[in-house]
Amino acid sequence: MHMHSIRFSKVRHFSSHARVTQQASHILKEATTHAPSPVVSCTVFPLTSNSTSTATPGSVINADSNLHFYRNKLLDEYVQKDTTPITLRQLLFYERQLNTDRLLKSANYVRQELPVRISHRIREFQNLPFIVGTNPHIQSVYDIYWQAFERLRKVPPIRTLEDNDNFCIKLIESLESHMVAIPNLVLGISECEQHIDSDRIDRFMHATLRSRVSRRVLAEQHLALSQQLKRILSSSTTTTTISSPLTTSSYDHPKALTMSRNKISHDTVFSSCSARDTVSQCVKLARAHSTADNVQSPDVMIDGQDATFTYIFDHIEYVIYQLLSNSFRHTIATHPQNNLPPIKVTICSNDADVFFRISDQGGGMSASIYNQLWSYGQRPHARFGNFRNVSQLAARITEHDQVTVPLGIGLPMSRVYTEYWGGDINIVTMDGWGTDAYVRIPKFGTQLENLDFVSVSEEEGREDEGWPMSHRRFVV
Amino acid sequence: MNLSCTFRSLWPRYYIHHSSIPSLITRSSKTNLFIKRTITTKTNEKLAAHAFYDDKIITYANRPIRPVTLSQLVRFGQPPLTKASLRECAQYARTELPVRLARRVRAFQTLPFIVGTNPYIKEIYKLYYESFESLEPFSHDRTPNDDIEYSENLKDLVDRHADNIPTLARGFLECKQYMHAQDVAAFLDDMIHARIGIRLIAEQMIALVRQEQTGDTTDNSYIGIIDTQLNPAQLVKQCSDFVAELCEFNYGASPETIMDGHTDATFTYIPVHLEYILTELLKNAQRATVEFAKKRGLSQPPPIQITISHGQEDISIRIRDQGGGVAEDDLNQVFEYSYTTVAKASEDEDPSNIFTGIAEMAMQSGIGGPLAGLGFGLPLARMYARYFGGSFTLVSMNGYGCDVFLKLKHIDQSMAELEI
Repeated sequence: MHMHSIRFSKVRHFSSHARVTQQASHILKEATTHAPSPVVSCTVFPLTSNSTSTATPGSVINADSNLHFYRNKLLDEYVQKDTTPITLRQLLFYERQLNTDRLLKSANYVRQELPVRISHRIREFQNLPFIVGTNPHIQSVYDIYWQAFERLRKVPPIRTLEDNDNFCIKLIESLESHMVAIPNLVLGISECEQHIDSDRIDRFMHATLRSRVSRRVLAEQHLALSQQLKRILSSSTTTTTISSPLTTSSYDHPKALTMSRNKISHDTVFSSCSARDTVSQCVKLARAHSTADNVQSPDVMIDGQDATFTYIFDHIEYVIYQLLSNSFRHTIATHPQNNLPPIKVTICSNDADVFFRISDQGGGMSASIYNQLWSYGQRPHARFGNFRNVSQLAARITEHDQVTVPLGIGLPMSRVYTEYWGGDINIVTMDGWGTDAYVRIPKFGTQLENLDFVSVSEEEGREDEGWPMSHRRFVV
Repeated sequence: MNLSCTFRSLWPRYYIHHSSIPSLITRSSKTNLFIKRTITTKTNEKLAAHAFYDDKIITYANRPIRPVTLSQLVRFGQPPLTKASLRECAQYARTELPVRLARRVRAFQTLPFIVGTNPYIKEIYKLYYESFESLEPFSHDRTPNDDIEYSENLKDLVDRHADNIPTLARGFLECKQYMHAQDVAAFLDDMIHARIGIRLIAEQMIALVRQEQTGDTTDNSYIGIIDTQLNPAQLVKQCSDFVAELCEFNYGASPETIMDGHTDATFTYIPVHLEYILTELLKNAQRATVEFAKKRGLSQPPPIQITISHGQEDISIRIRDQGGGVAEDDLNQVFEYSYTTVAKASEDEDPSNIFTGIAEMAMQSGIGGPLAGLGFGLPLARMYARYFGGSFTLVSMNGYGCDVFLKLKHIDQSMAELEI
């Protein structure tokens, strides 16, 4: 009874109780050593954890356990560090000028950067209202984050290619285990609707997904580079054409192989995406998926002038695909089969940006739906329940082959992908006629990653008139 | 007369004969225009002095405004139009308008002195003052209850105040350095918002009187100035033809307008408002299109596409142009008063060039003022759009063009409680 009350109060209050102080410092000492100490040896708190995590005893304390609170001190030193954002250009540089030295440099950057980013996320989780944190789905995601944090935090500096291999294995493990994050998170959030106001949910989810994209980018890029180097070193020629890693599969991620196109290499940076090609590609995909029911899909007319830009191909493809598939769906739903009005895509650019405008006649949206478009929480047509049937989601376009039920996070996810490198996405609707979507992508990849770690509760709302002010805040 | 009055009364006359005096007025090249518009007379001098000692303004300005709801306004004019409902409308207008006018006058009186001496601003101030003076007597019970005469006065009011906005625009443009932008914005917001309300009441009154007089039942879709069967497509055509003429005059070419969507949709709205908004937006679109086409060396400016949509709750109008868009830096400021992307060539022009005046006058023609360049088009259009709960969205694709979305709510039962 006495002990339980300590659990949720700050450490400094303990100083008044001599006996407790002694025990508390004992626990703290336990918590701060890196050597895994079996929790069962602690005499003060009986372990009543009933978590289903697969962590080996002693390596990770999950949220259920009583030691978790004290273990958190570990987090503090990481939370206080700032992230070091990277530009697309820098990623490209590593890829182009690859040698052992650079690879190890990249490995160490990733090694140090990932725990910092994860720790910021964990802290945001910790700031959620307690009741939300006890939701089993949220808690499982939280535990996954802690595991990843611990796993990566303990990796020693990487000095040889062998170290790098071990590191890559750890990265793959983390990526795999995080596949369940999005479905669980979304399910959990939708169950917590009444406990937390929707504005806050949106900002939390947005920041979490954004960070997740960033970590995947770093991890997958590094893995791709490692593979590339292996190939370079194992082949007899010392010079390899730069395009080779871009035309073959970078690493054997099972999902990547389901794509039937010849350039796979997900998450390696494409130096020049052609806007028109991207759109054509997405049109093909969207058509393939929408004609599953023997239904005609509308024509797509592309006009404007083509442009090339530096981007991560998968990201831009996801966004354009999402928008096109929404347009297809609504056009088909509001028009007779033989008279489907075309969807007009306009591509244009200036010195700094590339614009995509996707204009459909799918009947538009009423104000009530429009206002909830970007929201993760309460949405009248949200189908988050469908997430129960989807255990794993990496939010890749490849998954659209398997996931055919609408999940309802296409637009929020698209927003994460566009804003990640400092772009914008904006949707305006004409009720009764159709919808226009505008995507702006900065051209040359010199934008820093858009990670804002301003605490979720301090973030301001978006502008709602004119083009929204892009969130070009960089980490300080 | 005390010294300050003497000085104030001398000032305008002094300007006309001694143009070497450095003042912000002489910096303007539009001297010929200025002389044409402002003539100092003894009456105006008296007005300035009189205003200082006048209690009436303060009395009226301190009275509370009695807002009328839109449904009341409509009800005043609902057929069958009877003398009783007309009387009710007139009664409301008589007592309400002087209060609102007095408030406007008061707002002018609280501007910084130097701003108030700008001839354009002073002109409008005087206009409001005189209107107040002419309408104030009607609010007393002693005056004859002649609604016809009253509506004549209102007509006069409406006509004289027609060019307020461009004049004010010019005035504030010249006073840029004497007032903070946000104070100017606040003043203008209030001003324009109040003006819309005043004109609404006045014009509704005038229209009802006319309807009652002429017994005109042919136009039975109208209730005063509210048209219950307004067809936006038709209005768009009219406005774009008009603007195209202006454009041709100024640039020698004009872009084609292509319309699609629900072109036979109708809704209930005030045509004058929509006309104003459309004209402003089309001016922007056409000017930008022609200038951008010229820059790119195109032989023909690309067409402007307008789409009309009839939704459940509102009418949407989308104007899509290929005018090059708005740069990101400018985008933050397009809704600010006096902000314009039109090149400020006119300020450096040779004042002795007689063609300057002609071009200026041509630009001055038309509803709401010049083709472009005063920086009022967008903020005004937005305010009109929002007056009845509508919205205004501008999306720019810099290097290509702009899309403007205008959403206007049907004026119907749901707006019954909207206060004017």
